[in-house]
Amino acid sequence: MSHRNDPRPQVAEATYRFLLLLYPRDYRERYAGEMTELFRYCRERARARGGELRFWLATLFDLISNSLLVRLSRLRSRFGGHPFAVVPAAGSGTLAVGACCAAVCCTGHAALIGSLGITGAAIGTAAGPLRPLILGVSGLMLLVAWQLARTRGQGFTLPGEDESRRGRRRRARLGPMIAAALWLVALASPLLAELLHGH
Amino acid sequence: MTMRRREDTGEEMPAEYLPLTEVAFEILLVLADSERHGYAIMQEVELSTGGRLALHPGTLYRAISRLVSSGLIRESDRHPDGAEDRRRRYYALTELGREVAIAEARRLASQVKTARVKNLLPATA
Repeated sequence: MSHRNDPRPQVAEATYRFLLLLYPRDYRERYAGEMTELFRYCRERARARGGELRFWLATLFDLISNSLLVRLSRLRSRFGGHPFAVVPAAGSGTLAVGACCAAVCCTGHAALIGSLGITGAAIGTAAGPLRPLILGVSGLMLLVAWQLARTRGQGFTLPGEDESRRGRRRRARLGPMIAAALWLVALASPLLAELLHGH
Repeated sequence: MTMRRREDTGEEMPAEYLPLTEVAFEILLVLADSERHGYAIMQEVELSTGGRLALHPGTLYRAISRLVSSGLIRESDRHPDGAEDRRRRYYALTELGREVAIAEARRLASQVKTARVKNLLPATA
């Protein structure tokens, strides 16, 4: 098959190779070349049939779902395949979503949202080498968020409740507090997994 | 998926791998008669299922990775001629993989037989 009439095969392949970063490094080193080759053939075939947009959507779904499954499988095998091993990460992930919503309602501080996002990433990569760095950065962002909430608290007020600046500030601290709790869960999640695995 | 062995003899137990996923069984079927590379596996699976099972690279190589790590298929040392083919990795069925494929085929055949008894499928001539 050739690249004739295809104006951007290199861009498409570079995009696909970039998306392969979703997979663990050793998996990429082993299969990325073959997967990219297969992607090239599939894309050329999809173009010939006139369904490139549908092909890209299917490819994105394929990459995201399979990379998540590969990572989940690695996480389980890291803890001896124990079914409870993923509980802390899954629980913390759910908590992250809820805390994010709460924090947005309470403070609206971008730093806090970022911190929650990074903490979520730290939970997601519970076993990854970047985890200490991610947790460190998110910890710093939490401090910034806390300071912002203390000095410029803009927490919402419920109808009939105390609308004083002090009250709003107190409410504004709720977001960083939730984030701090989440941060500690992220910090402790591997330990929780070990404890669950051990019992 | 990791290799499963009988504790007393150390032999692998094909029944322990059952049931296989549809993708895994299709890959074993494709490799039953000869070695293939990833693209050929994808094409043959699509052909044999009448286009119903179209494998994308992520799904195909996750299945291959699991089958290799469980010892049902292996990377082949033989690289057929042709510049393009030499760059590709070929996969082959192991002895354990063949036994597991046979066990899965028997399991499915037994289910089809039951479906016939229950009049869900027409009886064969």
